[in-house]
Amino acid sequence: MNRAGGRGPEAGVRDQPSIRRSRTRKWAAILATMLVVSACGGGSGLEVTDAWGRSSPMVAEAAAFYVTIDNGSDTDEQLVAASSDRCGAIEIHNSKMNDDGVMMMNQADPSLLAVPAGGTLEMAPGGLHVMCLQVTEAPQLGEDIDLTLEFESGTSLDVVVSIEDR
Amino acid sequence: MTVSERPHSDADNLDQDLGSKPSPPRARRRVWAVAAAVAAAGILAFFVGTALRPHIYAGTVFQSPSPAPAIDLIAHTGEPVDLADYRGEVVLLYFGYTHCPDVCPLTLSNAAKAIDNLGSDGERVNVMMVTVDPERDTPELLGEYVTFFDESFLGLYGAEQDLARTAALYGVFYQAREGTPESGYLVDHTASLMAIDPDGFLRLLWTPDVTNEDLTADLRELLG
Repeated sequence: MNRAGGRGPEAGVRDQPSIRRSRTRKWAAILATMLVVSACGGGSGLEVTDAWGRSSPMVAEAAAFYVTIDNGSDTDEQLVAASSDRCGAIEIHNSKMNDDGVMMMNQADPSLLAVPAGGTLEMAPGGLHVMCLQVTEAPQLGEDIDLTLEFESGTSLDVVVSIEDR
Repeated sequence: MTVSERPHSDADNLDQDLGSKPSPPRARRRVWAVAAAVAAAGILAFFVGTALRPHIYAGTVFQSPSPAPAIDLIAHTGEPVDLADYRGEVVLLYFGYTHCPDVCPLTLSNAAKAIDNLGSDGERVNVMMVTVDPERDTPELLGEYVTFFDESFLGLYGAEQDLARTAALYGVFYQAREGTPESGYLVDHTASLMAIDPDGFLRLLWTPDVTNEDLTADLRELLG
C-alpha cells in the first residue's frame, strides 16, 4: 500500500510533461496534415517530397530543378509539363552519358516520366531534370521558386523549389 | 601498495618469491602489462598502416608518357594559357558551355567545394572550363559564368579550329545538335573532368558523378 501511495504523486508529476508532449504531437499532426494537404493535388495522391535547384550564374539562360514525386494513389500518373514565372519555357530533360563519356541532354522520353501507382519519380543531377529555359532571373541561393507540374490526368501540383547548395 | 596488502608480505619471503611461481596478483599485473603493450602496438600499427597505405584514386589514373598537350586558347581575362605557368600546381580541365544547366554546374560546383575543402592547398588548384559553344559563349559571358562558382576559375575560348584541335588532343568530343525552338541548339560533349599534375602530365579523369569528397581526397594526393 505504501508503495502504491508513493507512486501516486510521482505519476502526477510525470503527467504534466506528457500532456505537454501530447499537445505538441497534436500540433505537429495538424501541421503535417496541412503540409500534406497543401502539397497534394486536390487529393490525387500525388506528393512532391523534394524540390530543389542549384543557384545559377546571373548570366545563365538555363537552370535545372530536381523534383521527387510520390504517387500514393492506385492510379498511374504521367508527368507531361511544367511551368514557372521564372522560365520563358520549361522542358523536362534527361542527361545521359554514352559509353565514350559523351554527355547528351535530350527531352526526356515519356517512359521516364511515369509516376506509377504506389511508385516514385525521382530527378537528380546528371539525369532527369526540369529544364528552365529563357530564365527571366537566375535563381539565387536561399530563394523559393514556384513551379507547377502538370500530369496527363489533368492534375496539377504547385511546388516550391528551394534553391540550395547541395 | 602497502605491505599489508601484499600476499607473502614477510620480508623474509621476498627473495624466495622472485624465484618461485608468481603469486596471482603479480601474474594479473603481468597479463595487464602484456595486454596494454599489445593494444598499444595494435593502435600504432593501425596509424602507421593508415599513413603508409597508398591512396586509391576515385578518378581514372593515366600514366602519360609525355606532358599534357599545349592548350592554345585564351582565358576570359584576355591572357593566353600556358601550362608551363602551372608547374607545381594542379590544373583541372573541363569542356562545357554556359547553356548547360545540369552537368556543367554540377561539375563546377563540385570542383569549387573540393577547393574549399583543401583550404590553403586549394590555391594550387586551377580550374579551367573550355567552351564547346564558341558561338554563344563570349569571353564576357564565360567569365561571368565560371567565376560564379569560384572567382579563381578561368573560362577558355579560342578560334573554332583551335578549340577543335585542343579538344581532339584531350580526347574530347563535342557536337552541336538542334534542340527545340525554346531550348535552341544543345551541345553534346565529353563531360569528364581532367587533372594535369604538378609535373605537367595528364594524370586523372573523373566522370560527373564524382563526389566533392572523393575529388578532395584525390586532389590532396595529387598536390603531394
